[in-house]
Amino acid sequence: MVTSPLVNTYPLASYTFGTKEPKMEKDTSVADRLARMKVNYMKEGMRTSVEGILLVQEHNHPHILLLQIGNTFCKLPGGRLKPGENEIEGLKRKLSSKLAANSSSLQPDWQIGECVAIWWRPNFETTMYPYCPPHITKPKECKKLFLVHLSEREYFAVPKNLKLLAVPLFELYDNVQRYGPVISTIPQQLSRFQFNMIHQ
Amino acid sequence: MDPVIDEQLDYGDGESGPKMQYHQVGAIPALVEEEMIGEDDEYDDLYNDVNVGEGFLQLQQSEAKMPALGVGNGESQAPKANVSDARKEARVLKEVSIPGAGNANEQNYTSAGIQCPEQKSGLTADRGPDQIIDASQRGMTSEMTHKSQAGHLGFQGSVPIPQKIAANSINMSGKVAGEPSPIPNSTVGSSRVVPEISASRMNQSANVNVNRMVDNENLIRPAVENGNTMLFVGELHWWTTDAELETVLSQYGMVKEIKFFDERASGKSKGYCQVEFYDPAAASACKDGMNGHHFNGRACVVTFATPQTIKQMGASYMNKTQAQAPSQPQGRRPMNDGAGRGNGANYPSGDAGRNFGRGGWGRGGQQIPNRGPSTGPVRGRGSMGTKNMIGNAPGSGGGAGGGAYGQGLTSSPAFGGHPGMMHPHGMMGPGFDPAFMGRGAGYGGFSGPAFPGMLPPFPAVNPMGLPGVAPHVNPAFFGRGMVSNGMGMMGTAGMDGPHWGMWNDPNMGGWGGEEQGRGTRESSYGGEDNASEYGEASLDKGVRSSAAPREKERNAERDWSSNSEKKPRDERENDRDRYDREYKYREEKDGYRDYHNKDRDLGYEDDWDRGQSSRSRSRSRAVPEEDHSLFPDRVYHCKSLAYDGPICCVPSVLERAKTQTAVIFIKIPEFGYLEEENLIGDFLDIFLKC
Repeated sequence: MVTSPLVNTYPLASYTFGTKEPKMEKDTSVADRLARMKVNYMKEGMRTSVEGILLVQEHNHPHILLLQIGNTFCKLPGGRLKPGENEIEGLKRKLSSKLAANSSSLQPDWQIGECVAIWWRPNFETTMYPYCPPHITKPKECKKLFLVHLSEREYFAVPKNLKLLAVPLFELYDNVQRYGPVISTIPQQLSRFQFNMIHQ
Repeated sequence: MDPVIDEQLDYGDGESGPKMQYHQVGAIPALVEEEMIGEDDEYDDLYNDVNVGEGFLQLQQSEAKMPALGVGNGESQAPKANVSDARKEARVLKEVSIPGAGNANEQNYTSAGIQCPEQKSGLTADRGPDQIIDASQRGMTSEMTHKSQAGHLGFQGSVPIPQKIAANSINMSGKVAGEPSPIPNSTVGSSRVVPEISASRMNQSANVNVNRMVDNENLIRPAVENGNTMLFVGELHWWTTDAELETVLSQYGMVKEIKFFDERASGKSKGYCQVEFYDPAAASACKDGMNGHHFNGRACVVTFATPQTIKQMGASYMNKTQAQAPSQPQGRRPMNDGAGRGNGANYPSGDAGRNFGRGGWGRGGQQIPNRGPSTGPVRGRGSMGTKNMIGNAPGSGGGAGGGAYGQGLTSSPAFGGHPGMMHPHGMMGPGFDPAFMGRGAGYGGFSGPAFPGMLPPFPAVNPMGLPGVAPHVNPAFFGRGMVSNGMGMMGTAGMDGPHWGMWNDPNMGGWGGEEQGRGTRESSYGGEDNASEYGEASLDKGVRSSAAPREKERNAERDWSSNSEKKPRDERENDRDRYDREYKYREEKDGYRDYHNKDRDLGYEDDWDRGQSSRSRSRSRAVPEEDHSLFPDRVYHCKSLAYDGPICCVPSVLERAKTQTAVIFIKIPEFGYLEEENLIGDFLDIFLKC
């Protein structure tokens, strides 16, 4: 019998959050984003993006760190890989870009865990599916979600235009309207893990 | 939304290859002359060529390849070339000024005339021979091309015919000329006309046809657009990939874009796509050449896309009928009428479960392509519903719906023989969210908001099929409606009528709420659709909010009930709600409290029902006694000196009863029948019959 993988989660208070300069979105609208995606697709082929699931613990329940843009839209830290870039390396790069302080001395040593979900984007649209539809041979984007194991102490610098939220899993569960299909199904992806809630 | 009607794909219209091929020989020259203004000389020559055996063969081949360009371009050498040629020829023949067609290929004049027939017939095979013909034609065509440059498409009407005529090329060419480029269908809407016309034409003598075509063409011409580069390819399996399609498409020219239409909720292909070529000639060629091509063993259908259809396709999230549908009705209201029908045909059979939801009912009457087979027993009801839905386009459902019903009804006897009820159910109303159905929520049917009149039967039928779903939506929602209905059910057949009215109103309100829930479909988070539960949950809320108006309606309707107090009424409503739920499961309510939930997966519902029933029972008892309110069509037991037996009430009696301290009712000879004399005036004790 294989024991379920263990994930250590530490309380939110054990982490320090600072700020840094704003990191603006490259696209001002959904249409822009899709247009840019198209351009990139022509140049580089299918986009591969990686995102990290960072977990903390509060009240004995796992919380996931999400970056909130504006007042409503939440996304996971991560982003597009450069052509040919390794996934793990790329994710580390993106996490640092989003959450690490600018000074290199404070770069966290990101421990990237396993890939818990892969989502596919069949067309230049906003919809993604956890599989590639059978009639699509050239998906436009492939998004991989990785579990990130945080150490006990970390310093995060959050861009000024974003907010870092710790959202409990129960808040995500069954909440597609608010978080979208990718994030709202993370609780299901994580259900197989055993969480070691470490209290201070 | 446009009413969605199951449209039987009518490929025949566009392509009726076989029909088209009617061989005419001889008379054409005269006709040709009519149409070919100024080109007579060439045409005569053409005909000469055509009549020749080899020429004939070539023509045939070229026809096959001829792209829809419309004028049976003889040369199908290259799809593009053919297309353009055909067009040119068409132009020449008709002198249609089609802007933009501008294809350099001249050659095909003759071939066009001759070969037009091939366009749709799905002859895709031969390309080679065309060349030969082309050469010969080139000389001739070159002149022609100049003339007609503009509107090859003008021929719309003629297109269909040309194809068939391939064999008759000679004769046909004459005709073709008249009709030129009907095939290309690049003209918006005109293509549609063509198929129809041609079909009819084919039957007639060539001459006749030609004449007609000419007329049509003339009429059509103005509407024709040149250089249509968009096509719809339909009748594909959901697993037919874009790569496979592209492989075949690229033979006809450079493809600019292939856009598949898929179900938002699941990402599965709907079986049709929109193809855009850079070159209109290529599009024409493709239309002619690829139509009928087998992808994974299934013949596809290729038609031109018109602005209307493109808009329809693109705009709707809901399932749309296959590509054919839009093209066919051009000129009339595509999608609205028969267009919906096409849906049914289109759906890949593989989606048993999914296709339920295809109801593109949405606002505006999308079509419910769902012809899907009813899958398993659980879905039994649901599937039944869907069957009914097929072809039930709001508004247009009439005809289409009828057909669908036939299917559904016959196949679903289990429904308890409420054919009447099926109708509304089938309709599902606009806003029906395919995702829901597809996902097995089963509830999908509820999603249709706004179809007045459709709702009433719905509750009764729908809940059955959807395990686990019903509770979300039904409770308050249907409860309201059901209440009134329930009363009607009490055994007075005659009472059914009036209740329907109540249904409509209250239900409408409820639906509105649901609709909003469904609206989320449009959001960028397609996933919302995925989880029908989400939608349901939202529906639930919507339902509740709309419950109030419904309640009012009901109250108004219940005047006779003599229950002037709000409270009791509300309570009763609650009871009704619960009962309604139960009713959902049964189509027929014999006894008032006859709860026998059919095999529903909603276990908890059963418990609920039971609890409710007992509760309501006690309530009902209380009501009449205390308030002396009696409901029509409910059977009470009357014990009095004068009469001891079952009684029922008529509204008028109830009215009177309100003012009396005691309730007096009439003896009822039999259920459903009320008399109003005898016992009035007697004081009776009324006991609720259990």
